[in-house]
Amino acid sequence: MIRNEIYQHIRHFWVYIFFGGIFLILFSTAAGLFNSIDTPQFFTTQAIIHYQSLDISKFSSNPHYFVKPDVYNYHNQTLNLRGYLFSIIVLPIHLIASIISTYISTAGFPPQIITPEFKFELAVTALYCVYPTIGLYYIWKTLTNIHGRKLLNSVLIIF
Amino acid sequence: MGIIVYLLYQIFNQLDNRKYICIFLIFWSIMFGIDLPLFVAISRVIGLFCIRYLMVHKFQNTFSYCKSHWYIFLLPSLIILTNVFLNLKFYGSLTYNQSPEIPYIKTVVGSNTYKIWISTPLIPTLTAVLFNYQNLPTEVFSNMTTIP
Repeated sequence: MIRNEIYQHIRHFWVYIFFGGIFLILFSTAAGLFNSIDTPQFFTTQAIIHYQSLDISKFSSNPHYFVKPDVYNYHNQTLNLRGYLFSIIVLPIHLIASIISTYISTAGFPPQIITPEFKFELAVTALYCVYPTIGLYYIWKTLTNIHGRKLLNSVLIIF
Repeated sequence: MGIIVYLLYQIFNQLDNRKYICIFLIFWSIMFGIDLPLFVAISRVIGLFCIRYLMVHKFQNTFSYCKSHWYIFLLPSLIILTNVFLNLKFYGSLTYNQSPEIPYIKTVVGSNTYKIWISTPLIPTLTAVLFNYQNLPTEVFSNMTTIP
């Protein structure tokens, strides 16, 4: 019985390795904040954590405050246009990033873009890859349920 | 989207699919606060699902199913209502989307800011995207001078 369970775990272990690898590839390609798609959402999460508010104007002095045109001024607040629920869902990522950011090396990045907050921003954008990886896993799982060819599905997922 | 695809597959393949319907509705309600076009797109899927369900189980059975499983709708409704409440509090509107309020868009299109949703004419844009494998016809960009 126990041997059977161990065998099942080993048999499926390559799936964890495979999606772990996809996560690692996505994680390693992160480059920090550089466009308005991620940036307003990033600063909204920071505003929730530090000021319990959705107003991101308090971060306007950050050199990576690339939020335009996806912001909106309302009642002296600068608000994200892209929906704040994403910023709430990534709260755990910001908390984990604050811990792991000290271990991240920025040696490969040009010194002109390094700011005091750069390591943290890089850690957060790298950890955002958790969600696409989960999405890919469920697409793989659906395909496996439909026709069962795990290897073919893995190739499809890579492409 | 990956999770939604998986949940839809499970809903259509399981006899007792309450668990998957419940998770699906929670994800759908979360979309209301993340991506409105995706929320509308998945709402259409729910509409199609309801039509299929009504065709198979008839109205009376569907109504009694919803009535006896009312708790499935509790959390999704709560998420959407909380979202609407927070939108009203922070944004002053039912949805978070304030794209028409961007000053540049207001300056260019005036008060009728919802025109930006049709910044390209539907025909021939749609036919060109679906069936044309060559360059897009110039008519696709005909609104570019008046609408951003």
